[in-house]
Amino acid sequence: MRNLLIILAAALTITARAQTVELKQTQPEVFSTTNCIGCHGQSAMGGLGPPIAQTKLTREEFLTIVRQGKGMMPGSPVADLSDEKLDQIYTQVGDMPYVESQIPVAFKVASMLTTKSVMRIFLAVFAFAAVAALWGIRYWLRCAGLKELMPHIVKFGVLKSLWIVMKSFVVDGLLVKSLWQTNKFRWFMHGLMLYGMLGLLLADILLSISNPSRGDLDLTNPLKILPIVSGIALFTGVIYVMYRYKRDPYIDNGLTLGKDFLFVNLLLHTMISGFLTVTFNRMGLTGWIMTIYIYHLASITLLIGTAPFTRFQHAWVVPLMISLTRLTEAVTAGKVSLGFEREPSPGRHHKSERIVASVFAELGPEYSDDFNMRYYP
Amino acid sequence: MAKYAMLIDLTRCIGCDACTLACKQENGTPADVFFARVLNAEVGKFPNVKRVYIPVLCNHCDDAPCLKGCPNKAIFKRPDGIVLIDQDRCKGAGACVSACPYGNVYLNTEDTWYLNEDEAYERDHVKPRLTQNKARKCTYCAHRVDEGLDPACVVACPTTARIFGDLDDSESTISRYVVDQEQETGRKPFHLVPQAGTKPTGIYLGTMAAQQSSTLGNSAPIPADLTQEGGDK
Amino acid sequence: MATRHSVPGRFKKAKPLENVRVVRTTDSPNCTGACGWLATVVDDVIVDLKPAADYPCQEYNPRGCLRGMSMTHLIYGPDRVKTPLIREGARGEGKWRKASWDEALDFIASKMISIRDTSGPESMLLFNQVVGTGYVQKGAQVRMAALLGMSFATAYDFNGDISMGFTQTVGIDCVECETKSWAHCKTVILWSSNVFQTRIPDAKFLTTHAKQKNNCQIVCIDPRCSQTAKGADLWLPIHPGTDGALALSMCQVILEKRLVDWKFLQKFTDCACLIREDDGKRLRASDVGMGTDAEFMVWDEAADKLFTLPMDSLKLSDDVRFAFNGVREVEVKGTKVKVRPVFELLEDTIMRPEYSPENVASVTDIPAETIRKLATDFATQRPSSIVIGMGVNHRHDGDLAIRSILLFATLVGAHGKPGESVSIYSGQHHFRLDVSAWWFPEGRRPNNVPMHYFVLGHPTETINPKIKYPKNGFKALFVSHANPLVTEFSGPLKAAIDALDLFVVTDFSMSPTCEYADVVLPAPTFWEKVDLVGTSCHPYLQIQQEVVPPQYDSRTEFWIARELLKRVDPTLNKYFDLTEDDVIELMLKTGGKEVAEITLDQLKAGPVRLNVHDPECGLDEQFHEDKLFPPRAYPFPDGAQRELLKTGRMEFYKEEDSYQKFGETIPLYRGSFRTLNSEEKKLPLTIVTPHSKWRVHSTHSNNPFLLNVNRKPVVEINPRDAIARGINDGDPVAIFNANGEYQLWALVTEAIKPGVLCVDHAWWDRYLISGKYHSVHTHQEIKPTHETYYLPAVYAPGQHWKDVRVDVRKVK
Repeated sequence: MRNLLIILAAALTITARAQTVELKQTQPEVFSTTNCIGCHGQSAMGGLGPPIAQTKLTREEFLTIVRQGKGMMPGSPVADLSDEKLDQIYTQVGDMPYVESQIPVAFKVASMLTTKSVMRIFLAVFAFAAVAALWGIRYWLRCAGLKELMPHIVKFGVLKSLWIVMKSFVVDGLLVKSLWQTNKFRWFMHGLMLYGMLGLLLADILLSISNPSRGDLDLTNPLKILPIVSGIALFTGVIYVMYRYKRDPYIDNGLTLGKDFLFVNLLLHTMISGFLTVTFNRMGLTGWIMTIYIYHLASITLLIGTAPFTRFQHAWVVPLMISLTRLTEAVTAGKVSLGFEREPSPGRHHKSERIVASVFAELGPEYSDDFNMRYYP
Repeated sequence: MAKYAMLIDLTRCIGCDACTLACKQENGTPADVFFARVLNAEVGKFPNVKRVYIPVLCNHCDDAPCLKGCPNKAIFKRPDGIVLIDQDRCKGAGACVSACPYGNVYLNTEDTWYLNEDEAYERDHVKPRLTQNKARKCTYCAHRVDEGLDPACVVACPTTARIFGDLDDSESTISRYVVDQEQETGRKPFHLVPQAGTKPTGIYLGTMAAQQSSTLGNSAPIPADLTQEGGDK
Repeated sequence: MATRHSVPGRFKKAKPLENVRVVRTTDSPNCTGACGWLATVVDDVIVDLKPAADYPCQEYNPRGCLRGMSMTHLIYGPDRVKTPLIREGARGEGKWRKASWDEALDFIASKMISIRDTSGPESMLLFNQVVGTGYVQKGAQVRMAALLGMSFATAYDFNGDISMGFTQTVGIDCVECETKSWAHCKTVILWSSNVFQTRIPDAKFLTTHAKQKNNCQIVCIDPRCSQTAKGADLWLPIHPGTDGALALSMCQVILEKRLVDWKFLQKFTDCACLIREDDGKRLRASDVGMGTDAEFMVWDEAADKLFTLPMDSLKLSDDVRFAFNGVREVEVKGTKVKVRPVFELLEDTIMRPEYSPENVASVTDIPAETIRKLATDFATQRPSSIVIGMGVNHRHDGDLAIRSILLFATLVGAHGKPGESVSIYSGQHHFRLDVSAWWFPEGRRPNNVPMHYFVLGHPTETINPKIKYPKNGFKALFVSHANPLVTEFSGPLKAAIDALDLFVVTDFSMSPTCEYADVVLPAPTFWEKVDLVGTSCHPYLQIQQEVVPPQYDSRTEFWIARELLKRVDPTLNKYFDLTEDDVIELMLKTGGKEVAEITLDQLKAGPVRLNVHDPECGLDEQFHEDKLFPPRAYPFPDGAQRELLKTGRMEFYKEEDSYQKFGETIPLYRGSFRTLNSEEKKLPLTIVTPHSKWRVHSTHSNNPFLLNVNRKPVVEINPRDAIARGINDGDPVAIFNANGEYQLWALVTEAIKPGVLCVDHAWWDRYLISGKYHSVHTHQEIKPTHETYYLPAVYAPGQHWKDVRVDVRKVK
């Protein structure tokens, strides 16, 4: 989720830097000609960022923040904002009147959304989602009969099994072998989303390591290119999925349509609201920025929080299930258990045993758990 | 709307595997693929041995994990409850194979067959029906059901141990059978592997055979002649 | 219905099939289930088989099983014989020359002519299986043999399926109620009968009907917890071969508890017949000057005088009350002779302490209490039935065991009502109509010789004089509808074949028997030829249709017989100057009262019920029409069996010299394995070879469809025996005795009695790890009492292949 914040920050920066739009109102002061007003407002009484009128910061502190950025605020290099101008701005905002009533409601809300509190909320939601996802995985493992397969896995070799699962996660999960083999176009479109999402995740991690202060980076910097490309890829992918949803008459499988829609829509809303935030900022529509940004944050929160209950879960469930399929195939081929060797329809001995156990539980106490599958004759 | 279900009465089932083969023929499945199969289990120590045959097939679960696990939305549930794998959409990912708690989904990368390659029966009439590397499973013979026929396994069951029908219709054979059996033989219907929470439409009724054994349990070699001389006097 | 389209995609409409025919037919394999099928044929390829389910008695629907359904994979199977083959190398070497029909038939015909001219036509032997199904095609072969004067061996006695215990008791070798009748049972004893596996289409009458509706008590007597034991309430794992002791002990319980149905005994049995103490024969009317020697005397207690049993009907006046006990003295031609009723002799035997439940418990391994309860339940919880399986009969003293079982059921009168009968569903050879007009043109019959004498290579000293063993021995063998080198457990059979000049096998699959032949003729399957089919399981006559023309280069047996005849003796051509439909019409016209007024058109429309009782309970003419025993055994004329059952009643006393000589006048138990030598007796294990649900004898052994489910041959072995030999589940093992050895895999299971092994019947050798399946079980011995009379497939010596002992060891 943090990656989504970063992409926003990045997008803001791009638009800010590329800005050539003339502002409609001509302000004599330097302050009003800078990008600062995008977040801090015309009257420096805040917008997306905090009010800076009557700032209590020392000149040095002010300079450091502007140059290096803080939290979501990007840093501005000398090339964009000369020391001279910066001084003027410092003086101007220090002189501007602090009018309580002028603080936009948006900022009052946003002031609660400090980087820290946003992080806290996200962490909480993430933790909830993780727990729910793990809980969900229990269901899937139960379906797959991992417990019943365990004795055979032990016979087969735990390390060998782990290797098969890992390999499958890469080949079937990460590289999506089945799609590659059957439909390259689908593989590509799915890849846009999968690798877009992964790209953002990777960029987030790398940025957090190499640029914790979120200082502004050059466009040609790989750390800049990665999230930009990933974001666009993901966005394109989501748009395509939406298109397919509209076009495909058989999209309703009779059971999960709501969950599928929820996931795709949340993703779409997140992406759109993110880009809108950027665009509004670029257009200087400061009044809207806060609203759309909060909407954006809410979308992300929902997307993450509902992930274990929407189609989002396929991201981990499918690779897990496929890897277990591969593992079962290997155990069957390994002929480690007579049951797997004897069954006429290879690869489901452990589940067959569970079926028998469940029937025996119904038939009565004399049908104990200690039974044998015969298969034939 | 109908809600199709399959009832299997274990009292009637004799484990003959007619369903297994009828299904194979109807659906043209390749070697090692059994949409319908019969589990054969024994429990206990001699002489107190019990044997049970459990016919299994896709349960067409109301909350089907295979459907939820499919990354390609190739598996769908018809309004009448039949869960099908759309053969055109299936990309052979294989998630459903593990997802099915009953092991009733089949996916082969390569199919093997029974007869010589030039045999018209298999070449022209069997092989074209299914494609390899696609997940496949029992369809409740949807193509037959749509024409008002019972599934092949039901038609072929020589002991009428299988009853297929509409659970929403209280007058259907299956609905009446469930009610009647509870009254007449005190048997309550149950599902397989309830802990999987899949709400299967497959219903089972237990066995009525007492399956008791009576022996002295003598494992000694068979005794010699009863009368030393043999023959009457 | 069959589909061509894939498992339905979303809302995709199935492409309608073009050029489709649906044909109603029936099949005629050796199970004799005679199930009705609907075959879907597309472009002359059978694509689907479904039970026809069109029997007018709804209870019978549906009929059919996995084997019938899997026929597609034999019809188009990889082992199909596609052209005539003539052997190139040594027998069994596997070198063949593909031949045209003309070439093959000319080859056979020239050999036949030379054998006929040098050794006589009777040196050529025809052997075909289950003649009771498929009256037209098998009949054509017999007709040819009859016309040429060849010998003919009914497979039935050779199989050991002939239940001599029945013949000795009721004058016909098997009695069957139609399976619908089981539905009425409240007690049923499945005596070594595995009906859930061998009578799959009929099993519903026990599960769905008897069990579910009557809460019938199903008892299964079997050393193995069979598929049938699964559906039974009580499983009695008996020591193999001790069934007779159990039956006699149950008789003792009946006598002790006074549960005897005297009225039944009086009317239907010989129990009141008086036996002379001087010569052990029955007292005849001629002995006391009250009639002929074909009439028998009883003592009428009501009138206190001798009474002559009527020989025109079983009907007795209400006034008579036969004496079942008491020694009486009569004057026979001037001398006083003591006479005793049969029942008293029976009682003497039954009441011996050795047959007390306590004693028999240790013999059979079934507790005395269970024996008592079982006998009492059977007598009191009526209707009760017994179904006997072949395991009881396939033994040297199987006839005694069956006589004992019949005695038990007869003492309580469990016969002749719905749900009351003693049945043995081995009567596959039984004709449902008189086929003589087709089989035996102008009364000409082939020379009947039991197969045993062919295998022995010579007649026995005790051979029945009616059997004409060819004076020059056998020179040629024609096998059809059979696979004796797999199913007959007959090592010596191969040796007998080795001595032949000509060995011709007609089959649709390249069986191990075909592989040993000189000439293999490709036959069509049941789906490619017309026939008329009957069975003892249900009383419906059905037409088998030519669903598709004979496949590949196969030709019907009818055609082959006609073509051979043309070449061997063209003067006989006129006997085959008719079509298969003509043959059916001929048989319907001359077939007797069972088929009176049944027409070919009716049969073409669907199954037609024979003119028999409903339900058919077995021996209906006797129990309901008071006709004397035995019922007529088609195709023999009425009265042909009279000599086997002179009293016209159920005979529990056999007076013939041979029975007296061997001490078997009264049913008794003589111990199992008594014919084995001391070396053989030392082997610790016995073996049972039940029919597999995956096969009909050896048919379908090679069906790839069924092999997919039943993957390899296993021997079922109890853990106690396995552990003692270091055998683990799944291990390759060898079964061996002095006869030979074969190797297969172990299935260690608690579902079999310790001391007993079980291998499914009729695996082809190629599926074993090694060895010959039939080599170990060989037991070719003729019981002398079985040579007393001879009526093919009714009274003839049988095989006793369960009388072997074996051991097993782990290999590799």
